Amino acid sequence: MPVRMDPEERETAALAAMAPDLADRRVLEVGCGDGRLTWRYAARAGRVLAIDPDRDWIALAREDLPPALAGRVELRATGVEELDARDASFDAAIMSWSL
Amino acid sequence: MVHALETVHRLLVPGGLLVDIHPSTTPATVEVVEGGAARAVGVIREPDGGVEYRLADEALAGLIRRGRFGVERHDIFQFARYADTLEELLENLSDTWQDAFIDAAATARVREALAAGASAVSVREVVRIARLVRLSPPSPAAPAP
Repeated sequence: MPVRMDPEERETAALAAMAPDLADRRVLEVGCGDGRLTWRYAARAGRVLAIDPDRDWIALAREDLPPALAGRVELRATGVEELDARDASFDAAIMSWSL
Repeated sequence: MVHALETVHRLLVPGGLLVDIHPSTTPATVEVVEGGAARAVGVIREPDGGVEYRLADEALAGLIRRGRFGVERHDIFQFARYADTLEELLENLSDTWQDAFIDAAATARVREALAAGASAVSVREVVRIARLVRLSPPSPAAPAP
């Protein structure tokens, strides 16, 4: 059996408590890795751009992207400092174990 | 870290939300699960002693001091990963936490517990989470009439 990451979903609960108001928001997730956390909150967000500088992680995330989130989540292999995005283009950001 | 936070500040709308999740400086524990209960058998070691977590705290505190972000709430939670075998756990750590290692004494205790019937081995981290709001620089003072 693969390693179970946060099966108690304490991280999910903590994020929901800190950011209960993501509906209709444009969310930038920095350091999404394989999308483990992304899948757990994206359904209640508006649109999500999830980035990670590691191309291998992003490739894994693309493979695992749940179909229900396909129109809502964009995955991009880039660091935040290299991200091609306009100023003030996100309503919320999640630094996901990336500092 | 500071540059990444400055970039996030630039990308957020004024009043935008930042949620930061990063490990605390408390060493993660290595545990075995026996009869449904977890028992600590060691800690995760890192060559740098986890200095990057202190640097993350300092980077965030620096931006708060400079008025870039304000803290609305903060909390801690426990994040655990579970594996059926030590080898699976070590492979997962190698993939996701490359400078972490389990010392020989803790490794021996894990192997002994699994051989005696423990159902899983786990690593439990104490993680900090904070909700911050993007602040705007103060408006220049209006010229005196």
